Amino acid sequence: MKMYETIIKGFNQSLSKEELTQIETWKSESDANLKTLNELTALHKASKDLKGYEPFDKEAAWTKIADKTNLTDDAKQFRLPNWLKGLAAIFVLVIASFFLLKGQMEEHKTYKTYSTANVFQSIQLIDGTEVILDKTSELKVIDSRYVNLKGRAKFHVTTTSDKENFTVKFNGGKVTVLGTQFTILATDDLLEVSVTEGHVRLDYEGRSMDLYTNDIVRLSDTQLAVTKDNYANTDSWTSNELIFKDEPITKVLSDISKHFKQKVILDKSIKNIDGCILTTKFENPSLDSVLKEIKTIFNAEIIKKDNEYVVVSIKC
Amino acid sequence: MLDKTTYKNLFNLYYQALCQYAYSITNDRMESEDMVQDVFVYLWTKRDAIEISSNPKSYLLTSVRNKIYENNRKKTLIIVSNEDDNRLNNVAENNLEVNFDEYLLVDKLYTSIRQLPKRCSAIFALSKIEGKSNKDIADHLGLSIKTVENQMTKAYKLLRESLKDLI
Repeated sequence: MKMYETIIKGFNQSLSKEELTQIETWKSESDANLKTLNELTALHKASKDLKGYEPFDKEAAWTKIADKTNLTDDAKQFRLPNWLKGLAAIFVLVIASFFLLKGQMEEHKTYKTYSTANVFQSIQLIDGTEVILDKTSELKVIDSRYVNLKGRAKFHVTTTSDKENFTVKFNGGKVTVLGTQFTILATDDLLEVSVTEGHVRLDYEGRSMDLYTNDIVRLSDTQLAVTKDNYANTDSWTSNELIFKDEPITKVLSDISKHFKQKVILDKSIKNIDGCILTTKFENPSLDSVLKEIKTIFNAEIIKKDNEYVVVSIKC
Repeated sequence: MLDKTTYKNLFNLYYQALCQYAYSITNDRMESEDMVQDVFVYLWTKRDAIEISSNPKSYLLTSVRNKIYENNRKKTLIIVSNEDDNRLNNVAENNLEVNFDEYLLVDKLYTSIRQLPKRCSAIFALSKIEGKSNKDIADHLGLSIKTVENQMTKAYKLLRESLKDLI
């Protein structure tokens, strides 16, 4: 073990003459010692390439390949009897509830996963970057400058001395920055990146764009639309207030969708909404209370269809 | 003929390193992933006709390399293509497989760090992935420098064991 220590010490700093002689002597004592030294040196050489190493998303890649080749995992093909499915579902629910309620950092060896249930969490990464993670969201820290996000988070990224990029990866894309403040909302149905300060690069499904202070980019159908939209509800999820001042109903529904991470849309058949303007303030709102208010104010009918709330009739 | 288990094993073993290799040539992560995925999809769809059991690594590497050539030819920016082709040719001269083995080793090393005991793993990652000094790690984790050094020695010893087939 002592010789290991000396060799490894030599990888980081100069060794004394005496230590170098010790290694030379030890090395010449046997082929096994020489082999050990060579292997440790190879390991050290490879470890130097780890700095800034950014792994590719193997899991996502396999999903794509499996889709294209009609290959599915054995686990998916294996069919459980119904009673066992029920039992398994209960077991999974119990375990999932435990971790959701726990709502805390979960360690995965060197990287960490933060997941939240009913409260949002303030996180400081090792490089000083501050993250506010919204409710029912998940942040997986791969290393100090590379994270995966599901849900919503606001980032205040520090600039490192070597100007290393900070990358936030999410379903279908990523955002790369040096130092700046921005918010990402990335769920299965919604995507929005808003820049509070600085400059970020968004890559999304083969498209790439630069965003600057006050830029907001939203995914609408399959199009990414950029606006300079300095409105009150950008950070409504942190203040838990939704404020509308003479806002058209389309904008109101869009803000409600983002605030609750739940899509609320107008039915495509509704055409004449010019007079549907809202001025109000919701404090600590629930989705139900907001929808109830919309129903009352606009005499609207709202139904739940699949995973969306759809306004099917409205009077302005 | 290639079966599903072998196919998945090949993917697990080589996907990451093939992407890193392609990325070193194209400098485009998305394009690199697409090319490597295409190679794997092609391998499965043509598994009846392709015999790769003798040297799957060589087959995959050559396929990715050909894919890069093919993509470069399709690009309208001739200058970029030529630059990439030059990079490819330089790699060929310096022995393609030796270079690729380095990507394999780095990938396996990255994965193996996560198999180390918790504290050992964290210290090695802070040192090698984040480039922190032993003193910074000691300060950050509230440990003595000696403890950090001991954990680094332990990490090297364990990693040498787990990677002995590659180093």
